[in-house]
Amino acid sequence: MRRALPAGLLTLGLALSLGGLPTAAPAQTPPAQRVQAAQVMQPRAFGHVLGDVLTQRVRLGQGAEALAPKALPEAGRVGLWLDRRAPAVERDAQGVQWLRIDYQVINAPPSLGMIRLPALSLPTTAGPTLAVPAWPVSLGPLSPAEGSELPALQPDRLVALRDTAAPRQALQAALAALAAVLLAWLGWWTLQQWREAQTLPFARASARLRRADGSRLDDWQALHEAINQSAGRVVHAASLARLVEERPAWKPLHAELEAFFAASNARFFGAASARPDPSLRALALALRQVEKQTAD
Amino acid sequence: MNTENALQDWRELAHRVEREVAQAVIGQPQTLRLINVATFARGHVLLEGDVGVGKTTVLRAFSRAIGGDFERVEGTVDLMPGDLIYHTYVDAEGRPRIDPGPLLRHGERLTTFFFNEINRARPQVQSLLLRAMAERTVSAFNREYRFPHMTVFADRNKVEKEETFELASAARDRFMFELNMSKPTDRSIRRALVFDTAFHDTEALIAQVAPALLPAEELNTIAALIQKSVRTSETIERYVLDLWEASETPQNLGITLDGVDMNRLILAGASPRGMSALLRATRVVAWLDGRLHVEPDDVRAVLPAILGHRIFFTPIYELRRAELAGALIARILDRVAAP
Repeated sequence: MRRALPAGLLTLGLALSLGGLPTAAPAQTPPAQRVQAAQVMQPRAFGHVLGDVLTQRVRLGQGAEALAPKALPEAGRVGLWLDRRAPAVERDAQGVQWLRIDYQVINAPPSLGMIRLPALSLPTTAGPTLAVPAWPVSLGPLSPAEGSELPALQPDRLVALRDTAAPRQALQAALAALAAVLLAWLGWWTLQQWREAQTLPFARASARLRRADGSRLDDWQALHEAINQSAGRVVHAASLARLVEERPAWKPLHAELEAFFAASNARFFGAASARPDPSLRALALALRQVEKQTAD
Repeated sequence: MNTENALQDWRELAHRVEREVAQAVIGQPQTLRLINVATFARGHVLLEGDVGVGKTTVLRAFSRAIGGDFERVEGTVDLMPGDLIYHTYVDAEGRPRIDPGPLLRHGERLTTFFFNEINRARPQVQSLLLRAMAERTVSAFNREYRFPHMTVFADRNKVEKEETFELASAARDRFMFELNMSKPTDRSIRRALVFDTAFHDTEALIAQVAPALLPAEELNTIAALIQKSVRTSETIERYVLDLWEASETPQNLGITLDGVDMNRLILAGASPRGMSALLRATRVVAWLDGRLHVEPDDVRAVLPAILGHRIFFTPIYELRRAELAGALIARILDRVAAP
């Protein structure tokens, strides 16, 4: 593993980047070609770790076409630590073009050290060659060195517990209010059902006839009484049609009511009825439904 | 002939009588039906109604269809009981003669006795008539005369109040029905009565009715057979008893009438005789309808005609009888249930 680079080089790099001092022309540069230090926006010089991307921006001026063909540095691995991505030319808000070069750290050093972004020489077709100096940056490991007292992973950060008493109390109050509302509604509904069962004729009759099989005269009488009470007068076979006319909601049950009265006549007075006995329970429930609809 | 066949045959005859009378009297089907019921229940009928609605025509038509003899007496203030029984005069040879009066004249052949404007006759005359109605006998000339097939129809003039003697409560109770014959309201019937000349000649109209359709002397027999054959269930018995109680204490059923203190309305409810008449009439209604059992509708069909003159109001309400009786009975029918 490499150690930190000499401090003199680092100072030189910083001086080049900040002061824009001209760098020495590379050895292969033709003597006739002028070399000019490029204006570079360097990445942060410290605090980098594995995976970080370091971006270098080189000012090209107004004309990007001034770069010589094949002047762009190639993408690919640069030394042990860095991988260069394909450079790209960008234009800022003022219309100035910059060459953007991204380096990604692809290795992690065991301890803090110094590396350099490589120096570049960017020839232009019409102007001087732009010289980009090497740029030192510090590179640190992701985890402490072996044998260190520090654990490999830092413990989880403790999160301070929020005080939940107030929202809990609010939730409990809301739930209590909801329960109270539900209980009140249930109580009202039960009371309503009870009151209807006490006062509404068919509610009472259907409750009574829940298990009636029609064999007891009392059950028939109960349904007669419910019909009479609902009509407000005594209803008999002859007056049934008038009642149904007065109460259109009963019309769908006209045939069932006629059958009921015919069967009732047979039971109470000895009349012969050709029709089968209607179900008292079903008729009481049907009339109860009508009662519910018309009561609302 | 067995009982059922006899009842069936008589039912056909009864319907035929009604149909025949309906040819001569239009617009009064309810009255005709109830007179027919009274005939077969062996009850007497009090007719009440407006002047000129055809009360006499109805009775003459029925009398002709039923057969037997018909007699008519006009109620007047000077009519005496004896006038119904005998008639005295001096014959051509100068000897005093006593002949039977209208009641006795026909003997047992008398089937229809019509007392016109009974409330013009004195109470003594009414009493004699009531006895004749109740027992179908009168005593005269040291012997008893019987007219077992007689049905009495009495007409009560309700227009004039001068020189009239209203029937006592007990007298009204002897009549099975009090029928109120009102003017027909149907316009087509009114038109026929006014413009159809067939209804202008009463004699010709009554002559259209087929005569003597019934063996009138057998009416009592068939009436007894009907009463014996038509059965009543326990429910009907309870219903009739409830109606009876309602006629005595309607306030117990929560019945109210406009402007009436219900606790002071009823002097007396229906009598046992009245309720007995109700059952007799009810059985006939069931029989005419082709049944041998009574249903509540049969009771309802005759109850107004039976109870109307049998519920006795206290004097302060008696003047409103015509208005109150009908309303009270309608409310009783609306409140008393069967089953």
